[in-house]
Amino acid sequence: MSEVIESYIRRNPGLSEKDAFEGFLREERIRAWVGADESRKERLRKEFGRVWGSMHGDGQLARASRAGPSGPASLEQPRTVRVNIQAEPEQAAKQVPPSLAPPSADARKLSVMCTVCGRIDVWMQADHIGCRSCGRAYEDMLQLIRVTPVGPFAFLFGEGWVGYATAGGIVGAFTLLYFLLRGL
Amino acid sequence: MDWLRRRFKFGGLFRRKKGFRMGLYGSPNAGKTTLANAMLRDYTGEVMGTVSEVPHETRRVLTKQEVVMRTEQGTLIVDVMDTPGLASKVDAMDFELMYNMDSEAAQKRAAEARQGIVEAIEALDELDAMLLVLDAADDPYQQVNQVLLTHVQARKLPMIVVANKIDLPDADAGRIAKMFQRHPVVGISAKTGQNLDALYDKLVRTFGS
Repeated sequence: MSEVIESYIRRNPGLSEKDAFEGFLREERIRAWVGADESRKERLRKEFGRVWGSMHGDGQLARASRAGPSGPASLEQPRTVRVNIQAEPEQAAKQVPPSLAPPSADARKLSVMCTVCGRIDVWMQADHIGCRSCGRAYEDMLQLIRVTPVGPFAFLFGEGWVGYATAGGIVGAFTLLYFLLRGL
Repeated sequence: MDWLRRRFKFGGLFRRKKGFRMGLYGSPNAGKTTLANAMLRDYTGEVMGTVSEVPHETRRVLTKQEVVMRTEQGTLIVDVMDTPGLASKVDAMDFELMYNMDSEAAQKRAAEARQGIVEAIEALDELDAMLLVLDAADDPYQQVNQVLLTHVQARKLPMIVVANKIDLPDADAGRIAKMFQRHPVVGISAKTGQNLDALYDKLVRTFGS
């Protein structure tokens, strides 16, 4: 049973299912999760109904309310649900964007190319993914997938600065060889 | 060496050629691992990974190397790569609210799933062919499928589209064929084994010798 829903229903025992669901939807993090997504709201409504039915069908809440304040239900501590509270918007605004912050121990460099600057400098830290070179943040992970064709230059030498460096290195090496041979 | 390999990841000339790699890609719960398990069971007697109704059960890229597929059409030796389902984002609340997980387990699963998605995206550059696995009962016009389609077209990567779960009553492989007109589409049920032989034949004919 969903602990979040169950805990909410326990904390608000006197409400009807409809009112309880409306109240649940008004909870800050639930509201943030549902957003404007009607399908999420609908799935949540079904799940809420299932949990509600299960709790009331079991008679858990009915027994608890019948037992009154001196009954066993009043001795039962509300269940603690461990939740990672998201940073407040003001707090979040003050934080340095992870994409520009220096790499920390839990950051991981990804072997993908930044679709904006072409550099392989995309890092993942917790649930944030961003390019440290240009600061591009990848909220949508699918944006990391390369959807542009690779030309013959990139095919031979690589893309972005890697390609230019490789091509430059090869040209430089041949030039050096040429002058060395000419000097002999 | 690893540094060099990473540097020249996008340079075909400098990339070490490995075995023929075929990746199973698609949305979460499309049936990629079920299909990988069926393929391996039929040709090696092993399985790839566990399956579950809860999305993001596969959270690492799993590879079985040198699977020898023999059909009447010929032989294909392939590295089969099962990947985590791709999604725009993974929300721990989904697991908490919809799959009755406690908060800690949901957060952990979401973090692992995000890592897995990134791993799957990184592995795209190692592919020689893609098996795009779709749930035939679902709408194929999803962002994941569109992005993968654009990716294979940009890379000129051969792709076979697998319309999985055709055993479901509301499955519609025709809808998938309409979306992927330039790629072969094979309707199967990895769970029941329906039409798997046709898929194997197609794989061997397309990629085999």
